[in-house]
Amino acid sequence: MPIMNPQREEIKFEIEKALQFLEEKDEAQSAAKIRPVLHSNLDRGRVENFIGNNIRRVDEYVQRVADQYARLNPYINAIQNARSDDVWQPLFRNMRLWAYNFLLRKNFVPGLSTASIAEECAIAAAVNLLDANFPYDIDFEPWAHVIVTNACLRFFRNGTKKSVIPPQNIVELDEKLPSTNDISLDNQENRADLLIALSLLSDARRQVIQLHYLDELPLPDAAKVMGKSVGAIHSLHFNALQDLRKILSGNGNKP
Amino acid sequence: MDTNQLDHGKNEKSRKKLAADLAGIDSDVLFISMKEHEMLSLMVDETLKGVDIKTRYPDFYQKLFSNAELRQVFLDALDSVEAEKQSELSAFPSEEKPNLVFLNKKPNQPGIQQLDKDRWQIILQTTIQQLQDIFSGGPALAYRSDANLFDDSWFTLLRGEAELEGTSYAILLECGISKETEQALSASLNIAMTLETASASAQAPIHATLQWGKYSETLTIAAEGRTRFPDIPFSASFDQQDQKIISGLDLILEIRL
Repeated sequence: MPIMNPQREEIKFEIEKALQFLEEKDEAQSAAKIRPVLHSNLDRGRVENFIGNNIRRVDEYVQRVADQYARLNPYINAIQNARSDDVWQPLFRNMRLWAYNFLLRKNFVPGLSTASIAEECAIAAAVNLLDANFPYDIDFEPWAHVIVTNACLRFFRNGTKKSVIPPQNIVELDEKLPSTNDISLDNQENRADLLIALSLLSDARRQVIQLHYLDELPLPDAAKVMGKSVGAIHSLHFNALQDLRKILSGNGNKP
Repeated sequence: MDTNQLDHGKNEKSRKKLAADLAGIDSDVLFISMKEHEMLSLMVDETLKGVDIKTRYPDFYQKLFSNAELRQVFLDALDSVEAEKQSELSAFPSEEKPNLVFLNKKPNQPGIQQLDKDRWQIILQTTIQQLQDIFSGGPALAYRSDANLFDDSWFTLLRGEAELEGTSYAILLECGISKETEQALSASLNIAMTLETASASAQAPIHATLQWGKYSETLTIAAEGRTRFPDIPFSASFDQQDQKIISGLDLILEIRL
């Protein structure tokens, strides 16, 4: 028998309470329709992820799913069940465009050969999308983008699998970063090292560190200040940390 | 950058935060779990809605620090949506109308049988070939979790709709790797009912039988909702090396009206 996680049972109970509330608001049909979606999302860990440690967020989650279901279910039905050309032509054109641009960002050469790979990736993504279970806790577009991104990455992975490097040609690369687990910025010497490391970062990366850690701005706010997209800020943030770690490790600022 | 900022006492918190983030970045984690995979679309969605995911989802953000591969998928997907929003996409070089032949793979049409005056059976089937397609080329499920990191973590085994006496049933059977049992799948059945006519009423419990190779289980379930079958050992539906599916899958719903 599967082991029941008490917290899971607690979440289930809260979901039922929230559904009852919907039924009382004359939304019985809606409650019945989203119940399997919610239970599916609970199995997938989506509900736990969303609520974190705050059980009171279950209400918010259920309402979010109910709203998204009312808004998006006709479209999802048209895509997955009716499968009409009218709906699929524009959607597929978008998907292959996203795949094409993904490949360009990975330095593929613009042109028909890349377009043909993009088409292949978009078909794989479309087949996946036809059968996938839409979770109704997010918008359609990000979900579809993630599916296309995954299809493109799968294309890379399959390509890598096909090209096997003979064992005699494999060279061990020591790219592992030295551990900075015990890094402490408490003493004066380490702080001086950090300042040197910061000065070696690119302007944009240094600015993200400045805004986020020293000025204590959340990353979305830092994005506004720098006039960048949130995606670009996350990328700058991760890259800045990686650079800092490399520099500090090389500096001897180690445990 | 002003050195005093780092030395100032009030910035001790900032220093600690930076030190913790530096320690977390790239901790050699390469495995993307199902849970993390499920989180990706939610995180992209939340980020685009302006949520500070570092604060709102600290555990996941920590995973982005420690797992370079997960981070790359997250950033790639985010890039993709943002480029589209900002109309920065390069035009697709071909104007050819897409060939949508893949749409012809229609969802399974359930068979409906009347057993006697008030007893009906809805039968859904998935062939070996369809199952192999679902598990994408038939890699061993045992190794899926690390061999196909980006694949959808749940598989839809069956999807169908059936109408009986003014009530339509939307049926979905899906599975994922079991978290409780080694070398086994966990399968869940979703049934949603829609009453088409005012005279239609809620049905009695449904008996759902799932047969797949050596596996056969029957559950009695409430008219709708989500129910989980006992776990399906790989050995019941895959050959000894777990490399090939040995049997198609049948789902039989028995309904008394």
